[in-house]
Amino acid sequence: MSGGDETTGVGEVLVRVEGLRVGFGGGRSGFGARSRASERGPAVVDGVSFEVRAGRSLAIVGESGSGKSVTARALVGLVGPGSWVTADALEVDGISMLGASAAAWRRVRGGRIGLVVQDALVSLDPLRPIGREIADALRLHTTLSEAGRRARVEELLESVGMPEPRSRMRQRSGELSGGLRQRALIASALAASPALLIADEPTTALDSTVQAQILGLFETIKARGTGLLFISHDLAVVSRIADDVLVMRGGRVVEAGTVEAVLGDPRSSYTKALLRAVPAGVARGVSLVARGGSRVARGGSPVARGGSSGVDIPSESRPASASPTPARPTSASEGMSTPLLPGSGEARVTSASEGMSTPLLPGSGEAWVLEVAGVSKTFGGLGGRKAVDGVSLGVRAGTTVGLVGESGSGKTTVARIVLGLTAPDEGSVRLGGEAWVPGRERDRRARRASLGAVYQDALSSFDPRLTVQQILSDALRGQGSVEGLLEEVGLEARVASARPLQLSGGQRQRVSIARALAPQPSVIVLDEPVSALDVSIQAQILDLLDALQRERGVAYLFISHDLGVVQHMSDELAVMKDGRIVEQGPAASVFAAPSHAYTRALLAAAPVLRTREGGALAW
Amino acid sequence: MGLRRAGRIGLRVLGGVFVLWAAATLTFFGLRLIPGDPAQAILGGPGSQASAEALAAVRAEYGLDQSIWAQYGLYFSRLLGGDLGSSYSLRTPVSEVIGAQIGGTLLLAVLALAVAWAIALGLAVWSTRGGRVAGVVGSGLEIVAAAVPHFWLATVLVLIFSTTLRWLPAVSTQGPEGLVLPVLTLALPLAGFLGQVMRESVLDALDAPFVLSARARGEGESGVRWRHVLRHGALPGIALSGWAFGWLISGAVVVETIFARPGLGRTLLNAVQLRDVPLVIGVVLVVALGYVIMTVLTDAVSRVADPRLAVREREQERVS
Repeated sequence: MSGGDETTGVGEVLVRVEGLRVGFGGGRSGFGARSRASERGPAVVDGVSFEVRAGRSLAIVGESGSGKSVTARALVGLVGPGSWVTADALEVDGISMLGASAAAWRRVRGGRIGLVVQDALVSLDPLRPIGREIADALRLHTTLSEAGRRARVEELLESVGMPEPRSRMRQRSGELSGGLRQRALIASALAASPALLIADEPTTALDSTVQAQILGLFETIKARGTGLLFISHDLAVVSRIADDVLVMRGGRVVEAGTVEAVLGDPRSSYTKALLRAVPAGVARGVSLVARGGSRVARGGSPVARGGSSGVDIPSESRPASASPTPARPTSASEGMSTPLLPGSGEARVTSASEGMSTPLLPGSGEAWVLEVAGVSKTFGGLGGRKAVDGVSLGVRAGTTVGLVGESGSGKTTVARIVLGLTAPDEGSVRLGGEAWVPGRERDRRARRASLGAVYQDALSSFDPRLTVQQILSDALRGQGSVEGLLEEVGLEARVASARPLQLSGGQRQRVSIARALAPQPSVIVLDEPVSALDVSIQAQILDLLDALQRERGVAYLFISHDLGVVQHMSDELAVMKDGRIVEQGPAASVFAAPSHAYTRALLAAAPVLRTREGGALAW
Repeated sequence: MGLRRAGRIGLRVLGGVFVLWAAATLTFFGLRLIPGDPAQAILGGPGSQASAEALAAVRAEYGLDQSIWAQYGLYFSRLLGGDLGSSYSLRTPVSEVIGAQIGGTLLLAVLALAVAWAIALGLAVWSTRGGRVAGVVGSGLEIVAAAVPHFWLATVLVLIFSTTLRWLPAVSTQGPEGLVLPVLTLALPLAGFLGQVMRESVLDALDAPFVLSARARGEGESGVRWRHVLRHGALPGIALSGWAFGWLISGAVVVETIFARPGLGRTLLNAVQLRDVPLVIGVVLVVALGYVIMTVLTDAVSRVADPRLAVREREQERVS
């Protein structure tokens, strides 16, 4: 019968784990490889203990490589081929799953524990209707007839907030938006009414307003008495959803406790560094890595490099100085729903002094390095979708304009128009006071050096066969040395001989920043430059961008969906929705007093690091 | 968008017409490059002692005394009227010859395609299920099968199943048992090709997040394969089937000859040897038409089987 028929009291222990160790067999792991103890590779999860109770939520926090996803998958026996799992205890509903048969695991999966795997966008079979996917769980765990399953699927979709469930269940995941795919995936995990729901980074790929809806859904699920195990790297999300927190690093638990204790009064330096790395609410120009009052170092070493190297290993994220001095005047905004007010004292006051009224429209006499005037672009011919609709903005020398919007808002199309990669239907772009777009590429080519670009996916923007040395010397064209450039972006000279695939995500993004900097541009277009990075790496990259701007006076057009990042980086801000700019102005004033309803909705939806009592955290 | 869809279909049809025209034209001029006198061929081949008057009469009758361009124009104007002409060697209308032969070849090709599909998919799914040994064996078998030439495979199969085991006839008979060896000869190399691409996509699908998601729902190993992986594995096979059809027809030339089966392939071979221009062009046109139809068909099936194709097309339009 349905797993949900078994009564589960609130507070009952659903899963108990003690001394969990997981690793992948030495050598190549093949399908069904049985590793003997002697062949075992190193443990990626090393001695983790916790329990999850009905109606409570536990969040496992950590960066990539911390072992948090592997831990979650060990609970359903799905670590993967060639792996080994040991534990002092691994109990589901009080029954030990150590050495459990494949059939026993299949009954647990979906029946007692639902798993929402990472990356909602690709976690439903693209060839099957979502209704079938959800019904599969019912087919496997209940005795419902086909008609009964269909009715239940509709109910489930309704309960996860899917609009028009009856017609949606016949659609395939490709026809659904990211948020709806995540809802369908959650519905499939919940189908057989498991007592525990594990969600691995369930909001990571989603826009902030959608993210807020999904988090609300999880709260509802928890309120129904289902236990929640939440895997996330996003502390703001965790602070909203979790009762208890487990901070993992390198396979070990660094810190554990209630959310108030761990996020409000962190004991370990790693947790503190993680909290510091969250950019939301941190004033413009304040270093995220070495936060403790000081600005980003101006000359010499632009980033805190943790002493040893430019390699983005987690140890880098340790604060250079261990002084736990509070840097943010966060207590001032205690209890506010939108504590995104800029820090007062340390904010660079560029925006405030430069005219509040119509700050972004290119006007007279000012040093505009980039002027976008009324650009529009429609895709798909007549009657097609207007992706960009009359967008105007200007970037002054040495400043940053943040362009924020959700997916599909047209912000990347604006970037492509600015870069001269997509021709606008209307409007023009001027670069350094001279016509840039529309125009012939042949005329633009000589001036391409003054416009740089950095993309989210650094890896795919490199030729994988070239070494860093070759990539950068191509970009330099004999003007300056590769070593100097590497040093400037905080990388060691030995990185030059590596190929992009051999670098970490943070290192790759540093190389792509170096490449953009090489021809001495006056503006760099940054399209989601830190969205794919861990918080601590993200903090380092943001610090680096800040320092480079200070040293070189380069201007940025900073495109992101992440309000916290944009707030921290921007002097001016433009908010895009459905191809239009709905609000623009100095970043500080837009965040403090948003005038457009959409901006207010965005701000309200952005997860904010706070304890459940509503107060902002101070530490 | 209906308009765009109509445009796409229109383009496809135009492309198909172009392929047919190109096939007929290339064949027409290609046959002129073979040394020898077509009039001689009409009168019974090089060995016949045709008189000069007879040759001249034939040339006049078939228009062979005109310039090559005039002959080309004459031939095409007839072709547009639906007249494939009549065979030089058989003295019957080409359409009749083809009509009599096409059934056997189509049956052979369709059966071979089906058998190749079954072998390829089975091999791909089986060899990705077992351990590493099964994987190596599977991919090894595929490579060997794909590399084997038809005439050699046919000879080996005959040696084993006809000469030694005496299970099956070496020469094609009317009954179904006569079809087994020709079908296998055509299907095995094709299964090797298809299996290689299918294995790749089966492996990709097995690693895909949606499979993990299915396992997390409690789906077992066979459920994962039947409900999820099999479809993904089949997709590249569908896309390749149009190409495979053309490949099977050219294979039929060899197979029909070896097994002495009547069919288009053998007719084509004979017609080329006899310089029977109308018959060669007729067969080539029919084969090309079949190829065009199969390509359009597999395209349509691909789009039904994989709804993402339409989405991707739309996205590509956006980017360009």
